[in-house]
Amino acid sequence: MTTQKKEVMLMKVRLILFGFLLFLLLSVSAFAQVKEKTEKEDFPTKTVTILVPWAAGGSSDLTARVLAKGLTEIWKQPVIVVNQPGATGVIGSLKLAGSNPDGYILGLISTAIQTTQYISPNPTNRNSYTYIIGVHYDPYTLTVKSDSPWKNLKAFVDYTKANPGKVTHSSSGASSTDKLVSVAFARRSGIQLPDVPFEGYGPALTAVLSGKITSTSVTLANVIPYLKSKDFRVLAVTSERKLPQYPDIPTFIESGIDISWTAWNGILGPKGMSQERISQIQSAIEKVYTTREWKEFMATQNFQPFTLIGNQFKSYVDGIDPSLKEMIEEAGLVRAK
Amino acid sequence: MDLFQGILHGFSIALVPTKLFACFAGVLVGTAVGVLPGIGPSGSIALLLPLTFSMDTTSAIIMLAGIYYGTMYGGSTTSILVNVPGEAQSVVTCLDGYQMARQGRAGPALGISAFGSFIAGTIGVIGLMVIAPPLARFALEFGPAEIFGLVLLAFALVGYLASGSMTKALMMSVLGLLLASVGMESITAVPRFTFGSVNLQSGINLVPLIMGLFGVSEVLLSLEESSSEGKLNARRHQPKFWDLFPNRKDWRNSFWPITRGSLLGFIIGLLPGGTGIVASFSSYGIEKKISRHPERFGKGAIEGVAGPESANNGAAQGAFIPLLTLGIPGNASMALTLGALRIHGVIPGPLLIQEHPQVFWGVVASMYIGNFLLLILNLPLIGIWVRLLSIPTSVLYSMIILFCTIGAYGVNNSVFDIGVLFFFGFLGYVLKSLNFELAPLILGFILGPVMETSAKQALIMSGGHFSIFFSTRISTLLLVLTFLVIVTAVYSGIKHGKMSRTMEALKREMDASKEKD
Repeated sequence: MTTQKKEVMLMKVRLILFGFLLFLLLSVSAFAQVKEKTEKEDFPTKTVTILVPWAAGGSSDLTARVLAKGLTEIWKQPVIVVNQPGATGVIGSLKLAGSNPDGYILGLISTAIQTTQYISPNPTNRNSYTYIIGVHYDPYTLTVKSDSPWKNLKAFVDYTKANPGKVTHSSSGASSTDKLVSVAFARRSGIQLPDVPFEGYGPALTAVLSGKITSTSVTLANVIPYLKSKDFRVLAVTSERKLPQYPDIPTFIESGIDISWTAWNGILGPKGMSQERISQIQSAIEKVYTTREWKEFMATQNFQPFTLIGNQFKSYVDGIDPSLKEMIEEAGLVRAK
Repeated sequence: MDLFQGILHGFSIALVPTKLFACFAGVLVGTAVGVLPGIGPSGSIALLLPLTFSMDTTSAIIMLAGIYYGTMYGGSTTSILVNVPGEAQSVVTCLDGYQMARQGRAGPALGISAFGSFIAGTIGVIGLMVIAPPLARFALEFGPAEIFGLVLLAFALVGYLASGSMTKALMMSVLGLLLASVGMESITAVPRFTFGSVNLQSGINLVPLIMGLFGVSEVLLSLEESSSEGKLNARRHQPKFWDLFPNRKDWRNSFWPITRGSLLGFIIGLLPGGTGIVASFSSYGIEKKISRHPERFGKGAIEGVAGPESANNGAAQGAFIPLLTLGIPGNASMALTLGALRIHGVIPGPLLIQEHPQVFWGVVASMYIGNFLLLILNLPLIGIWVRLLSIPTSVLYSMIILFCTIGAYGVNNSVFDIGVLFFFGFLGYVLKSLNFELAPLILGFILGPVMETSAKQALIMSGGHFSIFFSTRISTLLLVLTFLVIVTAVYSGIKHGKMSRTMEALKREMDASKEKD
């Protein structure tokens, strides 16, 4: 071999060795994270992730992003949002349940984890989580077009009883929580209310707006822009009490139908978090709730604050679980193995 | 405020340095995202969403909108040059665009794509500005029964996508339908073909599917070429400067496809479920059907690039209509834009134009500017893109695989989707090698669930009576059109088909033998 070729080969060998060393160095450093400091240390000392089991742009996602921004300012550490949608929130929720309970992975979780316990062939388990703090809730509704003749729930029920086949109802999905509300509503008021599932609350609302569907039970926050434009009328809400911003809208209970659970959103962590860590996170989030940006966000989105923490939160979730299970069985949607 | 005042107001907002910068940044990112195969508009919008928190509302939406319609420009680049779609919507451009590149006409293909996109984008913005609210209400007329008719019509046009064997094309569209049925069924939530996997519960994701079937498979196919051919065949010859642009004949051929594509795309974009893919497929099918020389399609007909590219840009503009006038997002990118609006405290709904005119008019004005910026951005780049082909294929294709993988993962932060990418990559390789066309598969995959779901929804609404499909003028019209398309296809099949050709050959022989006697 000529000297030149020898040199070139030597160079290549050196380059490869160097590259390999660099690779080793990088991979070792990736593994050699500073070991988790003991619980008494400051938290957080690195990036915190809020997992959102829904696609970006939805209301859970927005909530998580605004919360993440607020927490970043308080903790002076990056708080990022990671979306892991799929299977009606199951994929992301299962990921959260299987994560390290050191407080660096949290999740913005909603009522869906309760329904997917029974509806999803790969079920979630509400007991696999640490319930840290609630964020907001959003009641379901019975919404109709404003040019329809019914001014209250009773009128709607009477009309539907007298005119079977003329009234149809849209939901945001075959296994959505608002579909469960409509099934329960129909059962408990003794009416036939065929439910037409659409893909998301947008198409469900459009269907009513177009006049092709009579009513829907989509949550209030999504209906409000159409209330303001006078396209829709809300006959009732499923919250336990009337909402202060909408004193004219009665609750289902007041109208004689016993449905009083709402869509909740909260921050959860994997099971097994230490009480110290939980308290640290709770106090930080409660601080965010007092900021002006948070209050503006809640106001513009028309969300109701849901501030149960820790065990109260878990008890609330456990409390509504039996009626959810019942509704799912009524709707014939049990698919969990 | 009326139209004239509105648009003036809009320009006064949009022509300010901050907004101009937002617009430029948006379209630049959009073009880059469009060019890179695998990484799509919704992924990049999601990534940049936090960035928009610190911007004012109008700038934020200008930027996000710029990204969205910008990707429609860039998406055709890799489709034409290496037969790998840059975006899901650009799949159709691969059909004739790549053939044009192989004939040394990559420049004109890219050029007509840019111009077509610009014209479509501009027509779309004018439409958005002038008739958005009435159009939005028109779109409301499309309920499940009407959507069923529309999709059925689109399916009838599938046959026109096929350049080769019709049987194979139909097989592929059925395979697409089967693949689409994976997941929990949309009306009864019954899991189908999920094999117990939670990852398949929501079905197969479109982006990894398309990137695998078209992108990864193309790379695998190229591995077959001997390693001595390090550079792509397409540009052995470096084209002269003016050859880089469409010539007069190209323009003549493309004029009507661009016009038709723009309008078709715009209308499809504003309908529920109308996406860029549906628009570009439909445009291709229509152009082929109307053309006097349909046999040119699939072999480098510029109409097959001009029409679909205009259509997907038209659809991108049309998609803003339901969002800005009714607050209903038509696709994932629009949902993200809706999210961005909400975070800034602007709740989209029927009152958006009245309550926040600066947002609406500012965005509309920025779209004119953005489309223009994109044109002047993309035209000089054509020469550079054509040079891109000189990169050794080993590097080029490695980069393609890299970006496809990043894109596939990035859709849902899911490792499973990477598996989907490569599974369909291998499947696509096998199918392409056996001369199966993949475009009908995508059509089946996308339209199949829409057809099934809307049919079921319509039947629930009507209590099981099939008469609902003829209950409105629109649905009846669509079904009649479908029938006509099928009938004319059968008729011309009989007239020009094997049987008549055999008969004619026989007749000629008989005449010839008569002469001999």
